[in-house]
Amino acid sequence: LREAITAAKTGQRQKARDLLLALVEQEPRNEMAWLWLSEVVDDLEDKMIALENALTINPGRLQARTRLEQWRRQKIEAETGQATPAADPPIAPKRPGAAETPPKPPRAIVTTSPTLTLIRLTAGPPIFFGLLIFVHSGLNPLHLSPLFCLSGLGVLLGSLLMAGARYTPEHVLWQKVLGQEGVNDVLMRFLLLILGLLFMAIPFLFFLISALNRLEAYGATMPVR
Amino acid sequence: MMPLNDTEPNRYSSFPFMTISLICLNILVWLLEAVIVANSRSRFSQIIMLYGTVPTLMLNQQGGGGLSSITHMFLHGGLWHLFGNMLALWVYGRRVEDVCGSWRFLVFYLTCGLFADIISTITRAQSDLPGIGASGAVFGIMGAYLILFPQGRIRTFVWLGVVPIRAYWIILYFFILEIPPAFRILIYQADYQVAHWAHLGGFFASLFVFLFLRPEAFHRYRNELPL
Repeated sequence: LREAITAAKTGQRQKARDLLLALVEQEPRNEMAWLWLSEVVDDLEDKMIALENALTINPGRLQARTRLEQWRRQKIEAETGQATPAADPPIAPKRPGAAETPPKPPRAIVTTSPTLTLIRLTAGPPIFFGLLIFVHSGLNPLHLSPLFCLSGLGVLLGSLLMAGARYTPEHVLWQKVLGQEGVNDVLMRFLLLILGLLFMAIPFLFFLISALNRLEAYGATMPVR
Repeated sequence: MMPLNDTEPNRYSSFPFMTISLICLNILVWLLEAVIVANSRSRFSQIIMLYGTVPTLMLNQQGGGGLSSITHMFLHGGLWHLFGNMLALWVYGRRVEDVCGSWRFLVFYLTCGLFADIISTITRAQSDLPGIGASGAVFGIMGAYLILFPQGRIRTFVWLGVVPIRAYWIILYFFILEIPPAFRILIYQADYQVAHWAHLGGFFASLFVFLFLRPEAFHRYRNELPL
């Protein structure tokens, strides 16, 4: 990133662009890389995409949001041709009674709160596990064993830890649990990820053992043809 | 009509690791099946009963239960069965994996297959026949593709030429094909070799895709930007 910034500052835009593109490929959640990329790409659409990605990672960056709104307006102006007067603007005769269509206002950017991201990314694995144990109980929730229900809670917790450590470390929940220093500590986040993985893996392992036992018991009674 | 591939490049990742892995695993399992069939047909049917989904067993809490619901997705009844499913997985899976990320894509794929299996089991609750194949999960991936890339161009083999066709035409075509037999099963208890309700179930399960999208891709979807 440092090398790319130096290249950008010294006017080597192509080099900076190449470095930053490689960097965002490796680290798609590197906010600074996206911000700098938005400065060094030439196409307005590309600039907007880079800035939108930076804003997805950190929706609180007001300056970037203002700039994005500016670029969006610029794009609309370029499309409607209002800001750039052409040499010979074709003037269509105005029909009497025809209503003038006002230019479309720039669409506001919809940002996603870290809470929604956390809930969204947490939900997948518990739903999968829920379906799995639902099938295992013969599609009858009343036959669910309490141990499986408890395992489901383990998957939920594991999934929450993993989603938090990986995607929403800036969420207030983690700041409360780990403190500001803990949130920024890479090792702490890695440990959180491992802990989450463990919480997820144990219930699945438990399920696997139970299913294999049942399968073995059924296999033993199967008629041999 | 045979979809061959998608012409759009990936945006977030360069290699569809999980799609390729799933295809390889399915092929490997099929080769293993072929070896078992060559040695002993009775052993093969025993394996299909154990690792496929048999509704009467599932509902009576016998057999592998949830495990069989997973393993049945990797078993196929023949080379064409395997080829059709894996081709569709390749065509639609690559970009869905790109917007989800490899591991979340795997969980999404399995969730679709599981949901499809539940719907299939409910609609043929009295059946002793084992259900096998990845088609439920693959229909889930197709549905997700329709939600995320309705305008995607799919290179499709039609008659004697390859033409790019919009994704919504192809996917809706395959979806609509499933509806009449599915209702015939429901109303007349018609007997089909194909689990049409599993296909429809997988298709509806594709709505789960929103739980598996990368944050960047979700942001772009909400802002109506190209994924």
